[in-house]
Amino acid sequence: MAKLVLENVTKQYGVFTAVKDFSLVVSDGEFVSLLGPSGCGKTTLLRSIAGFFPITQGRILSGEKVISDPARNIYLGPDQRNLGMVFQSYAVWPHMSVFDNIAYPLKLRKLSRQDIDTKVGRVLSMLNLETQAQKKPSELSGGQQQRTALGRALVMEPDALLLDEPLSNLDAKLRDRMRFELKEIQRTLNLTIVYVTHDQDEAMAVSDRIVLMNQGQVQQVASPREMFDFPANLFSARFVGQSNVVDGVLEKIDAVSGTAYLIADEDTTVPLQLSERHAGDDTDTDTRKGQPVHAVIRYHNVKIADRADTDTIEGTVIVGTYLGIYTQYEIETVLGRIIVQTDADIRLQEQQQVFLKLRNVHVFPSG
Amino acid sequence: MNPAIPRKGCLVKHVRFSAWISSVAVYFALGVLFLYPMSRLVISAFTREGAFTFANFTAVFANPSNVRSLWNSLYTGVTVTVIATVIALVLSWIVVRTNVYGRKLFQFVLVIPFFIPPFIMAFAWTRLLGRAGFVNVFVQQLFSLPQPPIRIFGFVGVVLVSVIYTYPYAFIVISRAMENMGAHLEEAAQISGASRFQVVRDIVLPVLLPAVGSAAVIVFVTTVSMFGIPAIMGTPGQFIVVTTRIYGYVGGFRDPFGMNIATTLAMVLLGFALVGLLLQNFFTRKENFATITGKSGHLELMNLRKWRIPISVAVALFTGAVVVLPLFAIAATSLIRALGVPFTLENLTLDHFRRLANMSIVQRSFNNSFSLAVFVPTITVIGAVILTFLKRQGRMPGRNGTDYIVSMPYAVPGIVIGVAMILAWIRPVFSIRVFNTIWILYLAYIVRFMIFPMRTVGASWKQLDSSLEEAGRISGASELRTLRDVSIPLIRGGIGSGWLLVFMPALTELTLSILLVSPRNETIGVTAFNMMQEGLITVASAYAVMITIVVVSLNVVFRLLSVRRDRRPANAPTI
Repeated sequence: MAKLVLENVTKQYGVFTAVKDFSLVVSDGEFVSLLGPSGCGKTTLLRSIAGFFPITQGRILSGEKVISDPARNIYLGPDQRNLGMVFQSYAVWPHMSVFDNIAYPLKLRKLSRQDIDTKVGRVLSMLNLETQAQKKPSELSGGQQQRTALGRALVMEPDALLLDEPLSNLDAKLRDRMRFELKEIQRTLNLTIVYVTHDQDEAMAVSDRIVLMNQGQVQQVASPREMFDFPANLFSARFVGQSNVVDGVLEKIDAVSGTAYLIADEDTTVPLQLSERHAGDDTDTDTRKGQPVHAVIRYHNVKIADRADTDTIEGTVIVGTYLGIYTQYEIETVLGRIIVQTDADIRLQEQQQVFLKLRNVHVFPSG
Repeated sequence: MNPAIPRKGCLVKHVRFSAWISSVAVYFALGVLFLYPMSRLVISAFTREGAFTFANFTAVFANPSNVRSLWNSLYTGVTVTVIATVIALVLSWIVVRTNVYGRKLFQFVLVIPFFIPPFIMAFAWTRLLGRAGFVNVFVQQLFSLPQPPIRIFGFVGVVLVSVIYTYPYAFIVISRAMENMGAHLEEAAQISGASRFQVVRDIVLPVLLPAVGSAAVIVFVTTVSMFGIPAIMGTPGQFIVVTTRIYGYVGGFRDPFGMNIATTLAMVLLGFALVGLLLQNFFTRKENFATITGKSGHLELMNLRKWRIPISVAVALFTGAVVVLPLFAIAATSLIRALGVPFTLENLTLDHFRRLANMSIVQRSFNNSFSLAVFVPTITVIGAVILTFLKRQGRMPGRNGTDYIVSMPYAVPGIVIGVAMILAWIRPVFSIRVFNTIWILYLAYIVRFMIFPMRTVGASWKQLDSSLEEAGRISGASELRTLRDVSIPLIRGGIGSGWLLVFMPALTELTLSILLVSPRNETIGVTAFNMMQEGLITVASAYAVMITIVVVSLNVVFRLLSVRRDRRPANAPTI
């Protein structure tokens, strides 16, 4: 395994820029996810690394080896990069048995029959496919095809593994198990993995780091926890986790208590308890005074208070939904409808008056 | 809301009775239409004067002309299959997988020869490469040769026109498979370390094999079953194949057992077709077909770079040669005052069209063919809806049998059906006379084309979730009412395309008609074919131009009318 280095990578199709000035270092043995909505450029980026097409600008290195550098006219084809890849559609060759599918990269590398048997055997047993070895893909379940594709990518001991939404065609239960297995295999073999997904839960579950992308550009690079707790911008806050987004104008920020006051309408000001980072890094109230902002409040950061206080707002329960480990309420407030997730043991009635504390609020300038 | 009207206990009895009645009716109709003629065919091949014998088979193989015709059919079939499949493979690859100029246009234009009736195609090529054909005359004058340099009649001509007629079919099948294959299978091989050549050798060709194989089989079966092309291109050069040989026997070789010989030859031809069908079953076995889950991935078009222009030009030239050139040849011939006069403005005339319009036989055959082309598809579609409905009801005994019966003629060459029809109806059956009337054509066409609406109606009905019909029933609609209000509107796509798949070949059918036609009951195909045979070159050209215009414009109209796009008639080999 080796690290992957992307330096200022840009990929253009005619006038359309699919990826813009993208830089990233994936360390040896690191699991990095490229996360974003469809069309954000994550797949283009992965395919640039794989080498299915040359990039427009920038440089890509696998370990110390430059594999793409248009400035110096370097472009290695995918067959010369020694990278493994698992496709969304699995791309298991229908005319070959499971064994032959997995053995194919080794045959191309002209390994002896004996070595091939040993290595394929090892992969088959790791992926619990021993009993399926002689079957054709049409006789396999989706999960088994998926493992076959993974085995084929692993057997060649690639410098890095590229995964293009590999789990999105599996049903929910299987997907959960495969996530777990994938993570385990990655740890055991110390794999360097670049993983493309549009599913935030999946990215959270498997990654060491997440690269959040939108419209060809990086929005945030962070660990799952960091990204969830401290979104870098509105896009990040909206894409990862479930949030209420409230628009308003800042009246003032009280640095001591870490509270921002948002003008909701002409005669109402709403207190928002800022997340520690917002409170800490910007206490200059003057510059932010009167600024229009988006305030982002996670569903689970809205707390039900017992009584009215200086840091509460009033609301009316519209509807409640019991969801097992928590209950979700929709509450009408001066800020509009706010969604709250509470412990299942807090029971509110429809039309009941409640008081809400808005905690860990993220404030991003708007306009 | 009205309370449900109770229908008492007689319901069950009523249903059983109607199921029984409809089953009897269906099996009777299928028996008369399909089983009876086919059994007459088998009986005729294995009997002489009422006694069982193999004499017909020995007679067939004792006559060197028959053996040669069998050999010629096989040889032509194999040659055409190889050439047409290779052409289709190359064209598919260029059009689907490279950045050749005009991809979309080529995708459409390259299948045009498929829509032109084969006998017209053959005739058009005689106008190019025949003894007085444009190319021949041009080359002869250019080099002042004593003889026309190109001899097209015979094996070469049959192969040439058959390839042009059949390659679009293989092209449709193979290019679709290439599109469906998607790029991921190849990319997976590339990233495994395979070079371009290794990708093609190890992945692309094996994955495409089922599609290529079944396309090749269809080309083979179509070629050995074809009548118009070998009759026009082969017979003048003494190149006789099985179909033209059978036509010879039926048309009046002086042989007391001529009809038995013809049926025996037909049986052998049927054997060729069945072997082909078995091969196709092998190629389309489930485990040979790609299982593609999820989206297949966008195709990365191969950049031809410096070859882009030459390859685009080559494809355009090919298209010009197989589509434009022959059509131009008949158009030019139809406008020239007389054969052999130079091509100048004052030698152009519309007289041939005028003459054509005044010929009563032409008017008659247009009437006959259009009636056939409207009523046969309508009847077969209604039949297909009834059969599928009964089958879906699940109350008809042996309902899967109807499928086998109806799909039988799919593998049976048209000329074989023609022979079977003659045997079945040449004498009045229960004093019903259909031979020498237009009705024999209706019967034959229905047998020949029934399979198309059965396929399309069956397929679109299969996609229909039965809960849609159950919802109709639970809302209070009777079975027939549900059929009318729910099922039929929802399968109208299958109904429409089934109708069209029959309409087009029925309009210009030749193979069946030539055997079954009688005076005053001519069809377009037969009239045109006879004109060509009689050497009325200019009038025949005018006729061919007219037919082509009608066929092409109807195709365009139907294409515009059909709501859903991309409904190419993929399952319609017009043998």
